[in-house]
Amino acid sequence: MIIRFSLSEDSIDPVTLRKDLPRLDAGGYCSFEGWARDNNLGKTVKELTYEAYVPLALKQGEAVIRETLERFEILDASACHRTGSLSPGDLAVWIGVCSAHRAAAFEACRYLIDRIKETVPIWKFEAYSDGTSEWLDPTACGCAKTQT
Amino acid sequence: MKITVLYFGQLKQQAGTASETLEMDDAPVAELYRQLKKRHGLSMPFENLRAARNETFCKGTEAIRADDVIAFMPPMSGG
Repeated sequence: MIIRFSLSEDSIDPVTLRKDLPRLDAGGYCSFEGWARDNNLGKTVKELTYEAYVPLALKQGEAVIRETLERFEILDASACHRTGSLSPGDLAVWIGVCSAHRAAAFEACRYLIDRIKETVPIWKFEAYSDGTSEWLDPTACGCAKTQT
Repeated sequence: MKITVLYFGQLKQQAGTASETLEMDDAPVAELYRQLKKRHGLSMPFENLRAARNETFCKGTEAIRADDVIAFMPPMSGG
């Protein structure tokens, strides 16, 4: 089985991750990088931690990539999500999609990051400069659908 | 029967543990959560969670068997 979704405890290197995507029947490639932001809801973020339920996250990550491959006219897709401790500016998630024509790659890339955020069991813990910290709940503030 | 329960995110924080082994009578997944919610003072209703049985997402009505690993997961916040 080809592994298309991975978790990484170390820094994500997009150059390494994208190397399997180019192919002669592809006309383009679209990528999304999610970065650890230094602010959230008015607070300064000092450090972030991503926790995953690893076996289920790997299984669900593969499932959403398969779903994306079936849903869009794309040729291949790959994704990697960080776990562990991150600093603002670090790469938190990387997605790459290749297709014969660009529209499908853009659409599939957007779809895939949304599905990963909604369904892959990964949680973000933020520590703030004011000494407070919390596990984020995107459903608690009513902002999950608007902060895209 | 003996089972293992896993907690993640804020549920782990509220339960004060990432996992525990329990003795329980036959009950579906949602009923187990209701008991644990009371015991640990968990704030989230079952309706807001995702549950998994043996590393596969499951519904609250799913029956639990001996030696199962049941995971309770708050809304995902990756990405």
